[in-house]
Amino acid sequence: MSEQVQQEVKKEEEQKQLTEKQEETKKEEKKEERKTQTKEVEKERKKSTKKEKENFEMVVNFRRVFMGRRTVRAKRAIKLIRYIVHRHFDAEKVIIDPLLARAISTNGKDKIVRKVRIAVKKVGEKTYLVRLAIKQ
Amino acid sequence: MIVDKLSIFGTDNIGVFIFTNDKYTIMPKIDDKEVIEKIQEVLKTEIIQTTVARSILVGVLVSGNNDTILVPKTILDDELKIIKEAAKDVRVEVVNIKPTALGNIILCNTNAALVYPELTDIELERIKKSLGFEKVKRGTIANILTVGSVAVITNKAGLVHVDVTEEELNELSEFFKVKLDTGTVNFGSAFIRSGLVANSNGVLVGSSTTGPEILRIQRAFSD
Repeated sequence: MSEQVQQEVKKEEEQKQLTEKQEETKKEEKKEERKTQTKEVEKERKKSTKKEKENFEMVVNFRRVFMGRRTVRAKRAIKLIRYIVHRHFDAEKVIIDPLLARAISTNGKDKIVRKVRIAVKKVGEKTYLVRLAIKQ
Repeated sequence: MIVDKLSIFGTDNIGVFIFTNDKYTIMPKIDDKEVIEKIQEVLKTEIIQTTVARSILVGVLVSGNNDTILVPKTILDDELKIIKEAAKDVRVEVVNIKPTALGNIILCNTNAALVYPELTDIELERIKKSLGFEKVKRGTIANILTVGSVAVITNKAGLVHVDVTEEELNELSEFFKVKLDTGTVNFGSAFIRSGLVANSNGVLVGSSTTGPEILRIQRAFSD
C-alpha cells in the first residue's frame, strides 16, 4: 500500500510540475505578444507622427543671388525661393509670406541675408505656402 | 512597390555602386550583411559581388536591361567570368567602344535605348548589335549629354531630370513605352542615377532623400 501511495504522490508532483511549466511558457508567450504589440503600436505612432508633420523645413542659401546687379538682390532671392520650392515639391503655385520677404531684406535691398530657414506647407493641389521658420 | 532608403560606403550616392535589372544585382563586395539583406528584400534579385576593371563604381561602368548586361572593354577576365557564371539567364556582352562608363552613356530598358550623342556610327552599330534590337538613337535629356546619369527607366516606369520640358518628356515616354515622371533625389540632386536604384520589384534611394521627394518617386514608380 505504502508503495502505491508513494507512486501516486510522485505522479501528482510530476503533474504539478508539468502544469507549472505550461503556465510559465504561457506567461512568457503572453509577455512576448505584449512586447510585439507594443512595438507595433510604437511603429504606428511613429508613422502617424511622421504623417502629421505638416511643415517641411529647409535652409535656402543665397550664395548665387549675390552674383550680378546689387539693386535687384531681394527680388532675385524671392525668385530663388520660388524656384527651389517648385523644384523640390513639384509645385505650380508658391505663396510667399510677407514676413519672409521682409526678413530677407532686413538689412536693406542691397545687403540681403546670406541664408534663410523656411517652412513649407501644402495648402492646396500643387499649391504651397512658404513661411519663415522660427526656432522655438 | 517598395521604396526604401540606403547608404553604402558612407555615402548617399548608391546608384554609382549598384547596377540592377529584374534578375540580378551587381555590386562591389560588402561585409555588411544588413545592407545585402535590405537590397535582396527590396529588389528581390540575386546578388553578384564583384568589381569592374578593379573599380567599385559598378553602377557607372555597367549598363543593360533584363535580357542583356553590357560591360566595358576594360573589364578583367576574372570579373567577366564571375558575372557570366552567376548570370546564366542573361547575355553578358563586352562592348568594344572608346568610352567605358556605359552606365553614364547608355539609358535603356527592354524596348529601346538612348545613347550619348557624340558616339560614332560604328560605336552605335556595336551597341545595337550587343543589345539585340534596332531601336537605339542618340539624344540628350534637358541638354545634358550623359543621358544615363540623369534618368532611371525600368520596364514599368521611370524618373527623369527635373528640368526636362513637357514635349521632351512625352517624346521619351513614347520612345521607351513607359510612363515617365520628373523628380530629384538626395535633397535636390537632379542626377537621378547617382541616388536611385530601381527595377520592377522595388526602389532604393539614397538616405538623404527627403519625404516630398520619396512621395514623388513613389508616384512615378507606382503601378
